[in-house]
Amino acid sequence: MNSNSVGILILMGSFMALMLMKLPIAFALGVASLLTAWHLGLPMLMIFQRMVNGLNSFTFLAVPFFVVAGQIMTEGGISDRLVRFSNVIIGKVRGGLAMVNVLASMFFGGISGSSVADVSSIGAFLIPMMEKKGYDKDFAVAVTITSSVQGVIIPPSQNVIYYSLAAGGISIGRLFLGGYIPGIILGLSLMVLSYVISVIRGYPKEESFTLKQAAYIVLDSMIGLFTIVIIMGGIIFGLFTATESAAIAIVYAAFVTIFVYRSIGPRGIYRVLKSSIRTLSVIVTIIGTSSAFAFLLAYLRVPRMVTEFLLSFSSNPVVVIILINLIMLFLGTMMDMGILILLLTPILLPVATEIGLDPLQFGIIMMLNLGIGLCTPPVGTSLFVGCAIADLKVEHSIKMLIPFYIVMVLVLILVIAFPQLVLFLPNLVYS
Amino acid sequence: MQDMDSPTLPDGLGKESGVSAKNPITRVIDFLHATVETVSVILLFIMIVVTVYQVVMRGVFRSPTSWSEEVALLLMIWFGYLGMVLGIRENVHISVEFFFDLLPEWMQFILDIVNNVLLAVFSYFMLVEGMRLMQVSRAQRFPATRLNRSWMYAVMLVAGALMILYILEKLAHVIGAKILVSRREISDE
Repeated sequence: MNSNSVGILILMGSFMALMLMKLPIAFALGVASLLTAWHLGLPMLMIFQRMVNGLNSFTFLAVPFFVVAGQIMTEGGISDRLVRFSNVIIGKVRGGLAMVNVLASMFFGGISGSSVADVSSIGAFLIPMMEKKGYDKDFAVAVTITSSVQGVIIPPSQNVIYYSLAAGGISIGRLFLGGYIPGIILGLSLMVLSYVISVIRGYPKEESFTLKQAAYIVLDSMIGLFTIVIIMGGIIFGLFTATESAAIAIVYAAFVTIFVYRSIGPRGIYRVLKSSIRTLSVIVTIIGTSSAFAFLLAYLRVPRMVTEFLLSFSSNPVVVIILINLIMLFLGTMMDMGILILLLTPILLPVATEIGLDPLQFGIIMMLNLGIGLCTPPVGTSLFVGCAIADLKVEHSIKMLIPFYIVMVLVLILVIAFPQLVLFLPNLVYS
Repeated sequence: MQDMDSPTLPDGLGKESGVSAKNPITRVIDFLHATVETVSVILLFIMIVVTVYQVVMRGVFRSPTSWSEEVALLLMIWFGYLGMVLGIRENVHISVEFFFDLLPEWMQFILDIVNNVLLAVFSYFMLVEGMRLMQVSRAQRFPATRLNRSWMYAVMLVAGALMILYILEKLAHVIGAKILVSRREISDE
């Protein structure tokens, strides 16, 4: 064993051990990096410099801004507006509330970009409502959590920003646009599945609205949904960067919630900033330590080795793609999404490009894989939050989730097989 | 890193607890904690304002600013490290609890101590290396604002010191609670 592989062993081994010891993952990454640097005789200073550099990126600044914008909108009551809006559009179909759930998540994903935020706000609203109308608990949970995965694919998605950073600066605008079609396909597929189940189980339709009511609801939520136009319009027309668009979105969201919806006052904004800091403290720490960790991975040439290892299995791209996806799906069930993006991108992206996948397409494939992981035990944040809201045991949710998993995997296969689903919009806009 | 939902302080930290009523040391740390929180909110607010200002100056007044990105990023680094500190005291950092929960109580107790010691060592290195990074970068300046580059690393001293303080407090609570429990067991017999 040469010193290089000992280094890899120390880096990976100590990370795993520390993580299982319940040391917070962010610090497990940091301590493992320090140990490895010490073994390799690298100055510790370098590790801490990397940690600072991880945060020193104007692109990353978009993450705290999107979190704040999403939080303002959520506290300002955007979720119940989106639910009512979706109800006007699709409530009259059989299984109306399930459809509403999926559609509202699609819109919510366009504002917040966090699937757990989606489950906890839209789910908290819709799961009890569905139960009251006679839907089974497990079905309500399954629809809520699987549709929240749209949030990590439909822009603006924080996770896409992590991917862009970890991949060494792929255009966020292109990645954002690439997420639309796969996200919408995912939503439509979940709707079809929910419809079939609703017909079999005889779930109710929703009542229709009078024209006046409908017009009011549509107008009311359009004002909030205009955030999407600001963010995406600004990026697409090159008016501002993703970070700048997020900052403008905060201003707009604050304006709408204070003056139009009048749901929170200026004091409420302070409260929102304070609660955003809780979320952000976790994110920034992981961004810092994982960039030190990723630096050591590259220093020890791990990406190169993994590429060679995977390609030694088979030179057939299809086999390698299946392998990569199985790795991501497996790890996605075990670990948190954001961390996996930061750690796996530098390792797996070289393999993906080697076999001819476009980095844009690979990004969306990764989001889908890890997004499915959010809905599976043992570590599935969305699943746990959803079950907690419904007061349902996780074990009892799984049987109903199986058809949903199947549909999600089918969408994944579709996105792998047809690169144009991802590439069409970015190429159209940026050609 | 998905959102953590409104985390609460762990038992015995910051609030009244069975272990000890609020002593002066806890009060000082509470005050420091509240200060760090307020400063973080202010930093976040300024970052937003500076970025919006940058867009307005470029888009509306056609005179792009050169300093705004530099300032926003410097604040981001400070915000990030202070966030790390806040997360330590409020136990919001994500960890894998599955295996830990399977262990017997005495092993959990030992791991609790080991983890906190590791965090303290990490914080100590952050402090020491932060100081060195400040020295190394003392002669460098940011291109637009002409600010000294060592400001970037100065936050590591603040964060390192605060984290050591918080971790010592936690260790005291973990060990204190253990002693109290064993005393109770002895008196019960």
